Amino acid sequence: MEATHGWATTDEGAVAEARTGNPEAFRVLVERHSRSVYRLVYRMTQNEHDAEDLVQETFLKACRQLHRFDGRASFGTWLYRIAANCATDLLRARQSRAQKQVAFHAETEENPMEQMPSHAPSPERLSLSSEIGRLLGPAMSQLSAQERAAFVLRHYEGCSIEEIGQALKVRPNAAKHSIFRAVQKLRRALEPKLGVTAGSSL
Amino acid sequence: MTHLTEDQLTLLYYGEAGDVEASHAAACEPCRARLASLAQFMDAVRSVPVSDPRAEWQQRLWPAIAPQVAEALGRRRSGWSRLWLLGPGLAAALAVVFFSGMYLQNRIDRSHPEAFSPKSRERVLLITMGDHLDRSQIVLAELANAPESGKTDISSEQQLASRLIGENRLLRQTAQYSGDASDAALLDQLERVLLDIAHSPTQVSSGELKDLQDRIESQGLLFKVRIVGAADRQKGLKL
Repeated sequence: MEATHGWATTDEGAVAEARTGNPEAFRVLVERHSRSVYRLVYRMTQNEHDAEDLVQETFLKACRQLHRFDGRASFGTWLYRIAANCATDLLRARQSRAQKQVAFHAETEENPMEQMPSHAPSPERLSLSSEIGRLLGPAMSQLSAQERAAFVLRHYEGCSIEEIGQALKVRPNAAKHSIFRAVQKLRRALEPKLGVTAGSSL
Repeated sequence: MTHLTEDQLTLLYYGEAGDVEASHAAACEPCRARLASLAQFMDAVRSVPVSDPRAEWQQRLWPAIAPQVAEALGRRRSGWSRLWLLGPGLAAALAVVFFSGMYLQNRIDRSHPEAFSPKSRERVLLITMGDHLDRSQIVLAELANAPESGKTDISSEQQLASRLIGENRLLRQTAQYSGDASDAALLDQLERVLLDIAHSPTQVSSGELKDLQDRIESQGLLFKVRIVGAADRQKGLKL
């Protein structure tokens, strides 16, 4: 596909061709970006099926809003904004439902992090990375949707504070504080499990 | 000496802190140790791998969305291209209706009733009005449903709004001339919103977009345009 059409060699070319109504051009964009979008939304949701659904939703939204892509950011960045918003909406809706359930079952609900075994593995037994990998999902679930989105975009995707603000439709200062809160929450949640105190040396 | 906060250390880790914080960290052993600890934690979090999506799902992804993609791309393309082609024809039809109403009604209808009867004139007018409201509705709906972002490009909606203003004016004057107060009021309200759209910046801020959306939603304009447009077209086709 990409070898036979000049427009397929760049995202800009494929976008321009897709705007003429050619679905094959959009297919090129899907095949080129679906894995990176999947990684982004997986990091936000920590759930494979949610991530798969969100990738579909992201590309369908992108297709319907293609006329609004102005080329100031790269197509990939524009796509990330849509993906981050789709994931944020999903997480907000889910957290809203969860809060209602928590309010209803206030006496019986427990902190998911407290249900996890609190053993502190020695460095010899487990690598730090794999241990964090096991604990990261439950820890991320303690972040708000905006905190998760801001942290993932900054920490894994290297987006600037300004870009995160634009993506999440918040002021840069709000984006920055979301990242701060995310880092604080993750450290408080994870470092004790790893046998260290937040703020001290690992 | 005041030590750096965790937030300042986080900014330092991301390379976004100011010179003051960087100088402090360079000179202060406890803060340097805390920064090293934070960096080790953050690097470990970053190193957590994400598996590639399932191969089976990747193969299913495009077939799953292809029909909707084709429909969305095709609808937008055919919709807009059809509208641009219809523009001059509609303007000509409007001019015929308007001038026939203004200057020829009494004389032509009396001397040659079969040439341009009131019924056929009403039919053209209703269909023209229906088409005009239909096209206006597309512009209004595009803007009303536009997602808020830092800056939104509304140039395509502006181009169509600019073309619709002249037609709208002719239709409004025709409605006023024929004593149709409700259509005249609707077209007057629509014309003011079309003018707002046409005279807005090409790139609107989220606040400006919200203002436009509020104007569109005010007094149920979009709803009225949709309902009246569909009703007029149906009525015209039945005549």
